[in-house]
Amino acid sequence: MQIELNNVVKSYRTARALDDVTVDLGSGITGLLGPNGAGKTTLIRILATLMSPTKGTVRIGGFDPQDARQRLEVRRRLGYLPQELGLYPRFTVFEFVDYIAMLKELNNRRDRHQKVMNALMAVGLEDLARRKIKTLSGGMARRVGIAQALVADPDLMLFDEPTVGLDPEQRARFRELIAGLGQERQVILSTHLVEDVAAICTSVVVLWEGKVLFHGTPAALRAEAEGLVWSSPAPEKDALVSWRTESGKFRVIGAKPSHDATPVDPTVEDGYLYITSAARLKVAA
Amino acid sequence: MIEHPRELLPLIAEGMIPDAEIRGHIEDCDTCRAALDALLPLDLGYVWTSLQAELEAPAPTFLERALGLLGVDPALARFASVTPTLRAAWILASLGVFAMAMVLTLTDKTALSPVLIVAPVVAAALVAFSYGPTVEPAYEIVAATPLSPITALLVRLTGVLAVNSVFVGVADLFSNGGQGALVWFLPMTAVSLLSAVIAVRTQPIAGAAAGIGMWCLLVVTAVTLATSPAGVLWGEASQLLYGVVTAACLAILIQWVRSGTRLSLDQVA
Repeated sequence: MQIELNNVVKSYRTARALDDVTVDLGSGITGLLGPNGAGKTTLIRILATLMSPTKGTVRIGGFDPQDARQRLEVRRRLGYLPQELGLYPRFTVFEFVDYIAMLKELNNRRDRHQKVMNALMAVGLEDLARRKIKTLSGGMARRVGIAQALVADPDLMLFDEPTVGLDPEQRARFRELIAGLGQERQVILSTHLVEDVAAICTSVVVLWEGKVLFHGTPAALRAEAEGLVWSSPAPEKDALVSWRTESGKFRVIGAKPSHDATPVDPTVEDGYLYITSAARLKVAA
Repeated sequence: MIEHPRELLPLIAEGMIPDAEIRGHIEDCDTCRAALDALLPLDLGYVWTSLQAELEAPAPTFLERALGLLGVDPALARFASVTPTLRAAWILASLGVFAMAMVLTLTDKTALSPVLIVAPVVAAALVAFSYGPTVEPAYEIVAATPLSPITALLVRLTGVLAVNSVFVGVADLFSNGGQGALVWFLPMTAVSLLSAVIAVRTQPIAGAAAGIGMWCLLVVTAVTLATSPAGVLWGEASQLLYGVVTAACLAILIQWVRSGTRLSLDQVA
């Protein structure tokens, strides 16, 4: 399902959340990376047809979400997990996913129940189908959210900060689940956790203050910091970024530090930190 | 403990869904499961998932069943049944208000009927908090489904107004002997739709406050300045005005929702 955004601007009263975003997203798993306030949620909401851009055009699988009929076609192909996951606390797990399945036009009762159970099995909640949502932990509730996004077998899945609230084991499971889903459909996930993107995404879009700073593969993002990452015995005040690691040494991104530093292979996180720090420096200058 | 439902197993293998007791038995009984496995060697996973799904599926609520009998689509019936202001707390609060209004009406028959005065007030509050990004727990998820936002809004408004109409009708019948004779319907609808318009545009609390405030202003003005307050509030000329307000508010709501510029998430971003 091809997604095209051309010169998309989204303005609120006092701020510009997206600033002339032009990007084409193809198949596979795309990660939207960026700090808080970068415009990730706004972009996801526009793709989820919940918001309209102030300017620019959006095409999702060839459909124009601005047109009511075409917007309906997009919604028929969409699974969406919002960042602020609201559920009905008195519903059971099964009841909630079944409710969303009904709204997604799964009208045959038996088929719908089968799909609900399949979605719950996919997220490992089949044994908790009768549990009231109000009794679930944050991680379990998140899995209910994923199940409702899956239930109608969508072509496009949008996940906004899906691993927030999940413990390390649940995050690992979630990554596996998304990796599996991404083989059969298009998945776009917004996150500020670089390790999520590095682990499962086939392409990355880095947003910063509403603009696209980078679009490419995780390997290409990693390559952005090639030759610019160092291991140093002391902090480096002139570095773009520098932080203490578990070995006690400092990881430094920028030009070669004055200390006795040795070059190290960059990670995807280094690439991300390099381009966002460089952008911040450019604005400050 | 029921006996092994051997005669039903071939039918179940062909897709029949047995009642809950038999499903429970089959799930727990190794003998029956083995017999069913033998009948269905090819797609056991599907059958067992179906059985499990039917076991887990909730029964429709009373409201859903009632709406179903009226021919309402099951998805819309489910959507109506989760209206925030049709939950027990809101219903009990509304009933409490109408009960007090009934007592006041019965106590002083010469005054303006408190039942008729509070009818638009309660409706405005119920409508303003019935649908929208800030009151619907799963609003973002629901809004991204193919359910038409116009349909969603109208289902919620209709459901809330219908419930409130029953309350007002019963309260009017028992306190005024039904003398209100539906004069309350148009002012109630006009005030509540005005609340809905403002709630959709801003926030539910602002919508409720605006609708209730305007109605209270109208009542106070009529009581203070008019020789016949009842005539001003519920007379023919006023009914015409309420009708115009109702039609205008409906047109505005439909236009906003259809254009996609309202009931979007812009207001809560």
